[in-house]
Amino acid sequence: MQNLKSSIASFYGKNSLYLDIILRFIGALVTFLWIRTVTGSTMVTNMFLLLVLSLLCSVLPGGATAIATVFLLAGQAFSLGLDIGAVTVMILLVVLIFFLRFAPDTAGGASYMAVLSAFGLSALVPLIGGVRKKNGTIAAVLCGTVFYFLTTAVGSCSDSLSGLELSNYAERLNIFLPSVFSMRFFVLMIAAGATAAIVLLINAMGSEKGGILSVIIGSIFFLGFYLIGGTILGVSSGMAQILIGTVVSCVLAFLFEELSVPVNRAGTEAFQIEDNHYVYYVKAVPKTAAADRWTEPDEDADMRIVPENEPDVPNARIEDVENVNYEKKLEDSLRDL
Amino acid sequence: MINVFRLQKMIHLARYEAHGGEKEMKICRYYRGDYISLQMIQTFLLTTIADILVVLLVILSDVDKFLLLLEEADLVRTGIWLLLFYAISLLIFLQITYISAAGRYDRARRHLKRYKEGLASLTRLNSRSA
Repeated sequence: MQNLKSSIASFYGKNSLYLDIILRFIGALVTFLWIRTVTGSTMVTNMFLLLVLSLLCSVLPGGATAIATVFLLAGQAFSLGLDIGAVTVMILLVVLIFFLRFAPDTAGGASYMAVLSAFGLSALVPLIGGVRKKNGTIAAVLCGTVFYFLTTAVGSCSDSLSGLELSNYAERLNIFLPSVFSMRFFVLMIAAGATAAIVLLINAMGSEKGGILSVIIGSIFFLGFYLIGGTILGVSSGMAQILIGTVVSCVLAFLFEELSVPVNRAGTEAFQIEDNHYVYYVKAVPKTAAADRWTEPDEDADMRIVPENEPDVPNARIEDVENVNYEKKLEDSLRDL
Repeated sequence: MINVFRLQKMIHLARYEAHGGEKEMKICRYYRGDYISLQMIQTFLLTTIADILVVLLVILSDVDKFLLLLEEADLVRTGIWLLLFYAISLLIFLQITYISAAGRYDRARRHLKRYKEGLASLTRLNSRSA
């Protein structure tokens, strides 16, 4: 397991920039394909357009997929009628207000939650988000649940709504809104949100086996709450799918916890600094075992207060930047470690 | 000749500026109370808008029932329930905002303090080498 972990870390460390783009592209494409399939969307039928949109979302910041999802959903809802479109936009506005206010950097989690819920893997995002100690996971999970039920409602109600007159607003909304805010919606939302909170809490305690323990306890809680809550509230559909999906999510989250290593997700950085005598062109190549993206300076890092009598480090010759073999230097420093 | 120790310091400081340092500097321009108050005012406005939208959605979900409620039910009691819902939602979200804004401000102050210490030590190194 250790060898596999180090080879994954090494591979990811070298290629993180490209891997992140590819994974975001795949995530965006799967999300848009799912929306198109479920809603029968007439907006984006051309596969080439979908590919271009997914490519754009993969290179833009993380929230691009969620925003594109919102627009696609709203567009398809408006094609069912002005009333359905307006109500969809209102629901999305409420979700976006709370989501963007409290957890703007977990936008990707919301769209992934929606897609994974379609395959019964509703527990995966809360488990992995909690293991990664992302506090915004709870908001992402709640918003993703709303996206999922909104998308399925737009798809499932299109036939029944097409039979009604457009001016019959009350009856049309009577069909649409209960299909969004069904009992299953509330059960899933509370189960997923509470699971994310429990996993975050257990991981925050900082115990050695906290990750694995939180995955197991979180999975048991999610399954138990969904089954018991669903039985009490009369939610019988999709139980088998949730059972299998939770087991699969638990296994995947366990693998993620075992195989993940902290890597510098910013990848290789290049910047330029200057003083009175030199201009320094800096290329920072992350070590595969380096700490996560630098947001908090290390206690032992060079940014501590320097005592007045600290001797100067002997000056070193700096080779020409372009001729430096960074890979060799990285290997040497890892060997020294 | 290049002082590697000084260069490492400069790189650390430059990386902090490149990754979130600017954002934290903007946060620390406010006093703690002012920053938290600003965040809570924004949450208050957004929560009010969101609550209005939620009430509208509830009304739209069953318009006939709502019209019947207007005719038959005690409007004062309904109004009290609505105000209670608004007050509870406001309380919850303002509390969350307070905790997150206070944490964000304290973290930014801590990082900026270390950044300034780094700058001071770099200045001392520069003056020594000059």
